[in-house]
Amino acid sequence: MKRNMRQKNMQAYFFLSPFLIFITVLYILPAILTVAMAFTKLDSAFIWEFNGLNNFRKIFKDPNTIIIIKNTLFYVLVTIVFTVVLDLFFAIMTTYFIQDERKGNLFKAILMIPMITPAVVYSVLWIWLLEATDTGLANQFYLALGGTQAVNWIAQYPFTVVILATLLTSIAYGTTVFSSAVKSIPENQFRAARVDGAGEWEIVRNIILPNLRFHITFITLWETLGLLTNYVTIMLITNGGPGVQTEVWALSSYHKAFADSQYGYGAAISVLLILVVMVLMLVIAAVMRRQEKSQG
Amino acid sequence: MKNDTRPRFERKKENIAVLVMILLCIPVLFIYFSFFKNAFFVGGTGAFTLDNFRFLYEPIVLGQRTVQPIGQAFTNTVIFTAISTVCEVVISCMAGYALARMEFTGKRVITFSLLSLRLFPGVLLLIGALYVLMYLGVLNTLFGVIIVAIALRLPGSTFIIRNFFTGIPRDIENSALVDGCNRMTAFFQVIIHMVKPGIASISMFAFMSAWSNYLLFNTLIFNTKTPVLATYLRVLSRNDQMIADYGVFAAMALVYMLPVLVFFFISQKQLMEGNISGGKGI
Repeated sequence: MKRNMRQKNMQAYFFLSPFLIFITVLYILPAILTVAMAFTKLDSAFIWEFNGLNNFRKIFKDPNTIIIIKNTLFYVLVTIVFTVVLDLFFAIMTTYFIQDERKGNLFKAILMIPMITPAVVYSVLWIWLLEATDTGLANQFYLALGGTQAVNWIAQYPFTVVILATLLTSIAYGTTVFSSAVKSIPENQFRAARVDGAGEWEIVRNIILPNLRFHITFITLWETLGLLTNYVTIMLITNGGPGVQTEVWALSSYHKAFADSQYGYGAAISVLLILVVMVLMLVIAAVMRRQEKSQG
Repeated sequence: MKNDTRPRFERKKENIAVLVMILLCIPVLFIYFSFFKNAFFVGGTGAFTLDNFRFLYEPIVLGQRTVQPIGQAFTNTVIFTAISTVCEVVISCMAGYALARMEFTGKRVITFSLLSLRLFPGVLLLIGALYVLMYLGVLNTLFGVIIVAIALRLPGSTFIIRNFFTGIPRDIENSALVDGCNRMTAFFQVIIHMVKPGIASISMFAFMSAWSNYLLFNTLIFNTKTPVLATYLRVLSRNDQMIADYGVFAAMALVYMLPVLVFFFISQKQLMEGNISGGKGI
């Protein structure tokens, strides 16, 4: 019996070893290092010199910190609300109202285009669209609609631009998840409601939304996690500017560590975000466990 | 399409919905078309030209800079994408199979860490990863970026493929074992064919993310000796100074996006399915 178990272990760990090596060396180890670095003065010279909680003290003394926190909250909250609402709208449109699957899928495919556009190209697309000159596409429309002077959109409304750009890339994921959930609602629930004389709005509110409750919670949490930690779109369009107007928490960690080579300080900023992320992960895990239980 | 038996008012609603969706999709498509049109037409006169594509084979002069042809960046991107995709798929299939089907000591711990790592955003650990690469002496190399890229994506794809493996009826595997396969041959000859949709889905995600990856190259490579398409394009379009004019950039972007678009239209359906099993996955 003992030998049998040992053989089984050997076999399993043969399959698992590449995975475990990669994860240990390039996931777990960096995680430990990041936390350790947060308590050091590590810079481009890479000398480990511990300085206790100094980095964290520095974060809270920095006058920009409060602005960055406000920016992050605003960015995440606004984007998440619009993302979920639009996800629901597009999912219901393309699956419930448009019953023809081919048409529905075509629209969903078009919604996916911003998501699959490489970030480097996607950001330039926005910069080009919002060019400050008369020939910029957005300005051409603005002038044609009665604007008097070309607007420098990115400089004047950096936050709106960043949110719109992020929003467009995040719609596709939630829409596909919601729309497969809508599809799995039994057709006779809709029929029964129609026989009872329910209007479309009532069907959406009383049948579709309650059925999607779990999915909505999940997508909200999942996208929040993504928005808190993904900074590539912002980095490429405004790079946190002008000034710190669009700097968010994750981006500031990147700036401190990789642009200013203050690795210790950047790691400390990262660690604080990791704490928030961990809380979110616990909530997600709890939500999923509850859903599993309720499904039996 | 099969006979439409729905009442007329419902079809009317469908038509309205289609119209609304078309109206909403037009701006997006319009912006993309107008942008990429720049690649083929001269700015002022509007004459057709292929001049913007000269970067494909010869150095071009933009302002005060000479830009090298795209060849090396293209090769690097292909190497990066191919190696990281293949490794990611093979490694996650092996691990996913073991976690779905085998009994061994430590299974609970590994499964638990897989579930948590899948939710954990690995980009927050790049500072630590940078240090590990430096210690291993592979900072600033394509190899270094490849191994980090694989590691960061492994939890996600292992999780997806594990669910596919769990879905295979145990009887099929047992009958393969009875018919004289051992674990290895059963895995390679029988089981792997049952999860082809899963493999297709994780390969597609791996491909897409590797091909368009910018962040890792930006953070882990400090010189311009190892350009990939993402950094090659980025150098020409810094926020402060747009070096390339939009015609040249659109032409480059088109070359860069072509494989993604082709892939997308071939695999759109699986992409959606993978999207769902990847996210909802309980």
